[in-house]
Amino acid sequence: MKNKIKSPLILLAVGILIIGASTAGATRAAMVYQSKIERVNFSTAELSIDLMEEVDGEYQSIDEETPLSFSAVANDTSFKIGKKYAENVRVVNNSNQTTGYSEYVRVVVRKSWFNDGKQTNLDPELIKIYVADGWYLNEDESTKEQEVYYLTSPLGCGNGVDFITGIKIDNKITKYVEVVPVDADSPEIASYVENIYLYNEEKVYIELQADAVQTHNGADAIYAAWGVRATCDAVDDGNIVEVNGVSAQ
Amino acid sequence: MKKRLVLIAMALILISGIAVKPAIAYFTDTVSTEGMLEVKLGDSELTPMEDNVENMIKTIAITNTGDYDVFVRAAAIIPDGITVTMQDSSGWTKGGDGYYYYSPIVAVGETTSKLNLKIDNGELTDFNVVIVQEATKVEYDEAGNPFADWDSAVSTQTDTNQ
Repeated sequence: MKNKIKSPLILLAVGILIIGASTAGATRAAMVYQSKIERVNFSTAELSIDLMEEVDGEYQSIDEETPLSFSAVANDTSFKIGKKYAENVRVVNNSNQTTGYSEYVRVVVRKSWFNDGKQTNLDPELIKIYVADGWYLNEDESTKEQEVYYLTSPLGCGNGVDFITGIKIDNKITKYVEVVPVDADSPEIASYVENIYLYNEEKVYIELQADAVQTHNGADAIYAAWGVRATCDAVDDGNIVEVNGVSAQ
Repeated sequence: MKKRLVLIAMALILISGIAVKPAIAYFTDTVSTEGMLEVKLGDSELTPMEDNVENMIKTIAITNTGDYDVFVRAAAIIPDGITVTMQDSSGWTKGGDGYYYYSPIVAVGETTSKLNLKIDNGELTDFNVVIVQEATKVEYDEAGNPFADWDSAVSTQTDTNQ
């Protein structure tokens, strides 16, 4: 035995045999699993959502880098307080057509007044956002500053749905005014006053956040993703009929 | 030794729990955006009227030197024994409340057409006619139609002494 181990040729032969056997095995395995019959191709579903704003007659995607432009207001000669301006924003299921599915959608609208920071002393309810039909406003999650809307029917892959249709600033902002007497140089003027408007040069701030979740096992998916108990009229791809026990129809 | 095995088993369960969680997560996506609009209200400012009296006809015109478009109106405050009649004043109409209303919108920098008021002083020779002019910011309804809210008016006044 001692003599055999000491022989380098025998050791080399055994080593070559072992390596050769293992290589041949691996090659055989690779040949078997790469045959066409046994190959399995699969990919996971892709879910995606997009917000689009109508600008000069054409819809364009908006996101953190591309903000809302409010083109109807921008195209007016002056911002008319009280006028309802057309502002069209859509939600689009832009999932990949081959791997995408329908999705439930909700949009959170946050609105406030802004001027070097959020102006908490000014009333966000004076900013009126008009929303298209088919959306359910969940009062439980809504405040003066925030409105949470649920699309009650699934949004099919590749489809879009209107969300915002208009915007208006309430005439009441012109009522918050301080009238201050001003000294006039002309002796003809008995009194001369200046109006100081509380909302003058303040900015309307609007934030939109659109969320999507799968429609398969919809109620559980909505609860897991958004934390609200929804009731759907089907386990998969159903319409949302209740949100937190309140009818959404 | 047993303790060690139990600890290893628990660690394995914990790791598999963490590993399984993503596997049962639901498909979601989110996108957000924002936007801002500036509101400019400025100040409504009325300049001294072009106040002129000739042949007992007081002529008034009002200039909008404020920051935004306005509607304007004017009233003549007169003592007993004096009457005032509007004459040939394009754009002006007499309201039932003693005011004379100028119907067109007076844009920034624009001046109204002339309001001519004929003063009949009867036998009075010493009297004052006080003209009050008021402006209110043009407001709009949802359809974009302009209207005036005279509760939010600002005013100036001038006196005519005879």
